[in-house]
Amino acid sequence: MRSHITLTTVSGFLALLLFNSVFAADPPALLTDRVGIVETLPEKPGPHWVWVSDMVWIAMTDGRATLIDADTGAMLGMLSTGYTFNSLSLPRKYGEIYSAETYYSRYTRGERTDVVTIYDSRNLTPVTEIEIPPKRASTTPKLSTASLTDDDRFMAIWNYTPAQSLSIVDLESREFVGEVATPGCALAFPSGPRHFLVLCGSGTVELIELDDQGQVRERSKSEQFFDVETDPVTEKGVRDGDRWHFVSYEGAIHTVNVVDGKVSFDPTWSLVTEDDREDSWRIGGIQHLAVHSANQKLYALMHQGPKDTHHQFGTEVWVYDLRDQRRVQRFVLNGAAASIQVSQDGQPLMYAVNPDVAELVIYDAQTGAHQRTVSEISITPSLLQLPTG
Amino acid sequence: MKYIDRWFERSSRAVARRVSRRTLLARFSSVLLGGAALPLLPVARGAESNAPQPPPDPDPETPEGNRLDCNYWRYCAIDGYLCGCCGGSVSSCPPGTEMSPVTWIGTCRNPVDDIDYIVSYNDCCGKSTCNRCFCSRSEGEKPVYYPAKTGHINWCIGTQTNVYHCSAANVIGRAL
Repeated sequence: MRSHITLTTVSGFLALLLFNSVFAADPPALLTDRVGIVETLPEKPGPHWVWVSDMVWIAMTDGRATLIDADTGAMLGMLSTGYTFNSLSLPRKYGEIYSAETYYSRYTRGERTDVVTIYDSRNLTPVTEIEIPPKRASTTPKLSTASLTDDDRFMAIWNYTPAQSLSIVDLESREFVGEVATPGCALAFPSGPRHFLVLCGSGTVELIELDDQGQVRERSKSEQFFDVETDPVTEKGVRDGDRWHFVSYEGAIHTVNVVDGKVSFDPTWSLVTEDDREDSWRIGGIQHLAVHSANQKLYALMHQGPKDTHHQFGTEVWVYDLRDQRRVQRFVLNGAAASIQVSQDGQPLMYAVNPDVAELVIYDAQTGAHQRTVSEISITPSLLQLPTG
Repeated sequence: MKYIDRWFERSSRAVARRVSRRTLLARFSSVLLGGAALPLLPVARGAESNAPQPPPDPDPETPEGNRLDCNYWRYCAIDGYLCGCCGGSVSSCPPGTEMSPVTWIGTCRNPVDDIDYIVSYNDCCGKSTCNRCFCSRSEGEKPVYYPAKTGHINWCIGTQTNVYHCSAANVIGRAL
């Protein structure tokens, strides 16, 4: 009996040794993560990248812009852009991003410093900054508070103290070069190699041309093309090549052409028919117009509401053919949107955000079909901008 | 003195016999009221007749009369966070903030007296956004290129900092 137990014990021990040698060999060498890697973006932006700019209404000291790839829904990166941020200024040549920003030395108090920060497009870090007079306008989100000339050379930043002016920055020499007074006129709409339009309370635009030093070479005021008392245009115009389309509170489209430094106006037309008006359809929101230039399609964010609801978010997007000014489609949105934007490629997407919901909603811009909703985007997402280059 | 006492006593008893207590009180009261109606001092009279009165408020139980409700009548063109929800009031700033002297204005109809009042929307500045009781009504509001009639500019201008906290609504006059 004793020898049997011994034999069994020895056999078990040998089996255990065999098992260990076969099945419990030392693990392979571990490839550990290299600590300290920071991503860099590709050399060129994807066709469906979109910047979501956010002044962060609920804590305006924490402005930010978030880059999303709408094809995958991935967040690619973010810029921190200071107090009362509005929107980025994106040059035609890819490589740098410009942002007009305000900072206080003690966060909400202390010394105020306004700067144009220049970011590297690939690693999203500040390259340098250019100090500008500490009086850039603090306003609700709109795309034309800081704009670039079409040759990417100069940047104009709208000031409001309440005197209105533009601070001009030379992006080549990286310096502030002067201030252009724009009494009674606001914002800056790029309109040529060295040209900006400013929109005026008298129902006019003024075209300002800069010289090589960033000083005013020529300026001229247009005839009156809308009545600010009866039916003002919103300051949320959209660019379409040589043209700016502005929409009035009552839905009239006013198109301003700037060709070779000359301003002209197209006949006005209306987004809404009499039936639409009876049903109280009107324009509203923060960024309520978008254009696909190649397809000559105009996208308008519409809602039903009474007079003075021009800030109300839209429930539908109405699509117009700009060639014959005819409405061709109506898209019912997945939830209300404050801002819309359309990519400019051959398979265009339409993007929508609502500051009350931290989401980016993506639609097929040709059919209106919902493609994807990207959640947890920014805090109060407000404006949508397309990377260029 | 004794003589005077007796004279008053006799006179009083005689009056009491002729006149009831109620009549006496009524006559005495009319003398008091008449005196009150007379101009006692020119200065006091001036102060009373020109004493400024705030515009009447509707029943505070109604939205138009509730100063913490976005439908309160003075907020017809406001666009921001109501200071009354942030430690201030309809017309005052919360502690530690600073009221902007530069403002935008609205013209709001008072539902009680049906008069249009000019309302100045003064922003309170110097702390981060209050983030309570957001209210955006925008009646008669114009775009930012028409600044005096827009709420879409941060009016923390002329203050120590441009940092926006909340908005108050001050009645500054009757509209013509």
